[in-house]
Amino acid sequence: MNGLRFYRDAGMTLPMDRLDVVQSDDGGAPPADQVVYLGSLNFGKIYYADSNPNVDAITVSVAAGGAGIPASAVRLALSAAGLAGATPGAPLGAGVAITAGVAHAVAVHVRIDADAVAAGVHENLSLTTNATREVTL
Amino acid sequence: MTFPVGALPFGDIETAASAAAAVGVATLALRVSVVPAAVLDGSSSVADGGAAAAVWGVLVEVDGAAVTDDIVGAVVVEAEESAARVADFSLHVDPGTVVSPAAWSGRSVRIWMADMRSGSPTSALPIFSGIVDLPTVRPGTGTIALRCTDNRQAVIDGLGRDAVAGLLPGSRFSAAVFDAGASALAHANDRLSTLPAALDLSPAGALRLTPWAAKETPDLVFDADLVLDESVGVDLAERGGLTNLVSIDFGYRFPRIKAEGYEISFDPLAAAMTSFVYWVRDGNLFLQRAAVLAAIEKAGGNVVAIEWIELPDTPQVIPGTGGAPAGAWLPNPPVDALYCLGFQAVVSFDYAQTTDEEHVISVSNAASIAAVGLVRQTMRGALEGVYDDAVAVEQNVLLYRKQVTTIPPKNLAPVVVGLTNSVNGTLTADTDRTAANAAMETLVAIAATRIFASHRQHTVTASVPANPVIDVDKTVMIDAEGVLAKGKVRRVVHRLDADSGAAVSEIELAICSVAGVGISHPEDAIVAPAGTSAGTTNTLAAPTVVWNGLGGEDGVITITFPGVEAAERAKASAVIESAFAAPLVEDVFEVTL
Repeated sequence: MNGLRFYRDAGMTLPMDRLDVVQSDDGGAPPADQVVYLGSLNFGKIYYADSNPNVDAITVSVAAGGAGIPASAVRLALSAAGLAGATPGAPLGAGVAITAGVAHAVAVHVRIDADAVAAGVHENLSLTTNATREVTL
Repeated sequence: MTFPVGALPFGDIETAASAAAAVGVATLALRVSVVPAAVLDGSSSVADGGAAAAVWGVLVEVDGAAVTDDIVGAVVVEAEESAARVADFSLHVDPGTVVSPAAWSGRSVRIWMADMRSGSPTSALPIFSGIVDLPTVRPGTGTIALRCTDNRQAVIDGLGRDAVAGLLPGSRFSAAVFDAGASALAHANDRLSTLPAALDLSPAGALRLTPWAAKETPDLVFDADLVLDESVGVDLAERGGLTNLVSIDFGYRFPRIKAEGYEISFDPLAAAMTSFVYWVRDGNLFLQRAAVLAAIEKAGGNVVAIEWIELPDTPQVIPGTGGAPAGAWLPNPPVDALYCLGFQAVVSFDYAQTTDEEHVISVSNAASIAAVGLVRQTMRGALEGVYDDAVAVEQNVLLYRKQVTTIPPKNLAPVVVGLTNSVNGTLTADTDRTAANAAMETLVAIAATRIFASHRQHTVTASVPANPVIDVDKTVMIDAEGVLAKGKVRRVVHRLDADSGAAVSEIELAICSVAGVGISHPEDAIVAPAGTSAGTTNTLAAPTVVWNGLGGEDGVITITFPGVEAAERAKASAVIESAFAAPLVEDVFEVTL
C-alpha cells in the first residue's frame, strides 16, 4: 500500500485527512496559514511520480469541486516566506522523490484567503498529489 | 498493483521489489468554515444570545467520525501558554458493546463550538485539535472517558533543532549554557527561556509564538454585561516570587601567547671610550660570538636578530708609549669571524599565559527595585578555551625562533622591542571569544526573561459565556466588579455542558504590574561586555650585560634579563563588571475596593 500521506506535524505523529480553517463571510479575515507535511512512515521506501519516476516532480495540487471556495483562494509554498509570492491555485512541486522517514517529510505551507462568501461550511476543496509510486530502496 | 519493470527509466529501482510497488494519491480535504466576522473576531459568541436565549452546540469528531450525539456530560478544553492543550469528554457506548480501550489512544480528535439556532451547526469555530492521549473505561458504566492532547511536545520534537531556531526569532542559544545535543523540544524550551514569549498550538493545531507583552489594543473586552456575576478574581504574586536583579558570574579562561622584546646593545670599546688599537695595546680580550649566543640562550632568550661589531679587516698599527708604534695587528679572517667587538641584538622571551576573565554581570529592573526592594537571584556560567598544551605551545615557539623547525607555531606574538606583546590563541569555534560572548548574551537574555516572568505572576480571572475565540494568544481586557485589567491570556478553560446548558469560558490573565503603566523601563541591548585585549602592554626594563673582557680576566659574558613584570603577571586574571537594564511591559491593572 502506498504510504505517502499528509501529516499535521513534522514528526509525522499526527496523520491528517482534513485541514480545517476558518474564514469570515465578509472576506476580511486574515489569511489562514497552516503547515502540513507530506511524507511516509513506510521506512525503506521511496516515492516517485508515477508518470515518469525520478524525472517528473511529485506535485501537490488544489482541487476544487463544485460551488464553494474557489481554488484561487489557496496558495501553496515550500516555505512560509514563499506563500506571498505563490500563484493562487497553482500546484506545488515537492521534488522528484520523497524518501520515507521523518527527516524527509516535505513541509507544505498552505494559505487560505477566501473572499466574501456565504457563511457555512465549505468542503469543496482538497489538496491532492499526482499519482506516486512507492518503491523499495 | 505491478508495473512493467522494463519501462523504468533508471536502473537503481529496477529490482524485484519495484515489481511490488504501489501507486497511490495522497489527498487532504480542506474544510473552510465561513462564519460572520463578529463571531470570528470574538465580539459575538454563539453562547451569548443577548436578549434571546443562546442555542449553542459542541461538535466532536474522533478519528474522523462525528461522535457528538454520544457525548455524556461536559466537554472541557483547557489551554495554557507554552503547554499542551488538553480536552476531556466522555462518550456513551451502548451496553454490551465490546471495545478495545487501548486502540483509542492516538485517534485524532477535533472539537468545535457552533451556533445551533437553526437546528444545524453554523458558525463553527475550532477549540481543539489533537489526539486521544488516555482513554479511561470503567466496566459496566457504558461510557469511555477520553483525555486528549494537542500533542504539543511531539509536534515540536518532530521539527528538528534548526526548525525550532527558525520558529523562535530573537531567541538565543549557547552551547556553553545549554545542551548542544538536546532534543528539539528541549532545544525549544532552552531558547524560550531567553525569549519573553509563549510557544503553543492554536485550536486548529498550528504552532504559533505569542509575545508575553499584551497588545496595546485588546483583542477582546469584557465588561460587567459580559462577565458572569462574582466571577472576577484577583491573585497577586508574593514578593518572594519576584526577581528584579540577577547577578551573573561568568568565567572565561583562555590562553594568550606572549613575547617580550628586548634590544641589547653592547659595545665595550665605546663604553671604555677607547678605540680598537688602544684596546689591543692594553691587552684586552675580544668577545666570542658563540659566548654571546650561549649567554642569551642560557638566560632563556631567543635571538630574533643580531648584528656584530666586527674586528677590522685591515692591518692596524698598535701605538706604543710616547706615540711610537709598538707593533701591528694583522687580520686573520677565518679566526676573526669567531669574534666581535660588540653586538646589537633583538631577543624575545616567549611564553603562554592563561587568562581568566571573571565577568560580573548585573541584570536588573530599576523601577521594580525602587518599588519593592531588591530581590536577587544568581546565575553562574563558565567556558574554557580549548587549546594546545601550554608547554607544547612554548616548545613550538622556541623551536621556531631557534630555526630548528620552519613550521610556524599556531600562534606567535610578533616581537616589539621594549614591550610585551601578545596574541590570542586560536581556539575551537565553540570555545572562542565569539562563543564566550554568545554564552554571556544568552545568560543575560535568560536573566531578563526571568525578571519579566516573575513580574507577570499577578493573575486576574473571570468567567464569561463560552467564546471559542478566547485563547492564549489573545489580549483581553476585563472591566467589571471593580477590576480594570488588561493582559495576555495565560490560561483558558472552555466548559461546555450540554446536560446543564452551561457554556462558560474561564479566563486567566497574566498581569505584569509593579510601578504602574506609563513608567519607563529602560532596556539595554544585549551585547556581551568587552573582554581583555591582546596587544602590547608593559614597557620592559633593560637587560644587563657583564663581560669580563679586560686584560687578565676570564672573558666570561653574562646577560641578565628582567623577570616578567608584576603587572604582566596580573593580567592573568581580570574582573570585568557590566550591567544591563531588563525591561518590563506593564499592563493596565486597577482595583476599586
